[in-house]
Amino acid sequence: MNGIAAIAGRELRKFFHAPVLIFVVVLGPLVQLLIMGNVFGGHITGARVGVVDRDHGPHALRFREALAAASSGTGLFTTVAFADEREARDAIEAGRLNAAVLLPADLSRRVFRGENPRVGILLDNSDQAVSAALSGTLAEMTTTLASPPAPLHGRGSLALERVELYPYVAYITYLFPGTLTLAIFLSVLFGGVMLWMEDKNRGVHEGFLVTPITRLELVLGMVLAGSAKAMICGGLFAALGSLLAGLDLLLHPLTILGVVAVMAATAFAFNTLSIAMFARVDDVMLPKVLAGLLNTLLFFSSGAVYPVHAFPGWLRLLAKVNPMTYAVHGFRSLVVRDASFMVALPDVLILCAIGSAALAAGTLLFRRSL
Amino acid sequence: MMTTLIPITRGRVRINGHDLAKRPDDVRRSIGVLPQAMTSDLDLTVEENMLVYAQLYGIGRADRERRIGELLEAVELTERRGAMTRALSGGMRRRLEIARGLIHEPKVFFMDEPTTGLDPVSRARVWELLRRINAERGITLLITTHHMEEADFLCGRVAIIDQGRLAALDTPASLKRGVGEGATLDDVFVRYAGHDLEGGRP
Repeated sequence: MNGIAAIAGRELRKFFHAPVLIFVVVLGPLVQLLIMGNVFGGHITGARVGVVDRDHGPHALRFREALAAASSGTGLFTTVAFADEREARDAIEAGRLNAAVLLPADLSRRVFRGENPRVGILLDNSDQAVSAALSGTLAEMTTTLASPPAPLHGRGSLALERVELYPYVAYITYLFPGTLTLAIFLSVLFGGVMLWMEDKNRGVHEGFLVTPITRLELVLGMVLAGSAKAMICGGLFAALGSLLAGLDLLLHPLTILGVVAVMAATAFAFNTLSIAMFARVDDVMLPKVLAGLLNTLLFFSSGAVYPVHAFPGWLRLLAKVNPMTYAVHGFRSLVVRDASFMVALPDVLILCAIGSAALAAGTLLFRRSL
Repeated sequence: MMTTLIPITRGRVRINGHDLAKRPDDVRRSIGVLPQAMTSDLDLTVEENMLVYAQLYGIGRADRERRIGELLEAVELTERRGAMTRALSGGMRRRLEIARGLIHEPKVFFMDEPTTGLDPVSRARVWELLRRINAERGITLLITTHHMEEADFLCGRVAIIDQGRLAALDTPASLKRGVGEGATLDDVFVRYAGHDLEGGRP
């Protein structure tokens, strides 16, 4: 018991005497939330769509008017007229157009005959985000407009309004749980593993090992202090980051309690895992070199920036064994989906199970001698 | 090995009556260790550095207060009690580490190069301090050093280890007598371990 208090007390006193760690650990994810949240969050505007009209009939005219109305209403695209398909294709290839709409020669005639004619859309799908946005809007227009006759309205009365349906509209909100997890991860990495390796290198550990402290006391002391540090950093990030992401987390005490529980389980799992990983490592460089790799491997495969549902099979497998996945899922359920704590409970339990296994492994791997 | 950091390979070690292989924690409570590197925490105050070790040895709150005060007095750091260790000079840090090693009142104090990297004034002060600890507290000091003047000044018995083997063991005075009139401990060292410099065994 005394050993735990000694080790944890030392770590925490050092932490409060030199609070630069808090600053670094909170600032990094905040910047990431701000930049990444806005890089992916915006609506696409100013794309260029070519129109090849080979019909020139009343329905082609209607379609072109609708296009013009949609382009002025949403700002998603502007239209450019092209004489033939080949020219439009060349423009897409040259990067001057993002898409082209092909109105076939017999469009109006076939609509009057009650058939369902096809309007072609050429897409530059080398840019996924733009082509997805354009194909959505254009496909919707073709189905409504190329269908059997409807009375023609006066010019300019047609407008398209944007209805927010895509999850990436509130991308900064979507990203918040991931960056909160990242703040905890960074705190464990910089405030735990790296300081500990430096201590080892400086011979501070030798000093502890010549006292009657047990392995478990040493490991528990580090886990306790590491978790407290991670929760302080995580808590501070959650307060600032939720404001940045437009979340009213701070007004909901029950949600805060749930978030604190997920934070505790996450901090516990990350700390014990890092000790199990580095218990036998003496090289100070290794955690520094591994930091970037671990960050990419764990953060991006956790569903923090993109839904796991979009992953290929092997990556889903990685997401499944990645403890960060459960942290992100837990935070997202509580903060973004406003779910009850019961939804996040499985995540908390899984993280605690991982943490307990890692604690046992870390203690066994830890060496009492040099 | 004697500080319990490396497992014993052969033979037996008894310190303060405890068998190291059987009761390592009793040995640990009987010894103090001053590593060669400065290992006091720069981001803690002088007092906090002492406190961590008091807790590691499980010393109760009342005893803790008394001993920290008394030891800081002994190493002349009382006024620096609340100062950050970062602000201390090398000599002061070394004295703090010595005080830290005495917090659990050990019987044997292992010191690895206690004055390496210190200026002559600080060194003299540490030597004076060590002599007092030895005399007043009756603590055995086991010092490893490359500094023969230090060994001569501090030690009752000097062992010279050459390539892992005990080459000589005696009081400084009789070791010096064995070499010749007016010899220093440096001369003794050269005599027993100097073959490397001369390129062959004497």
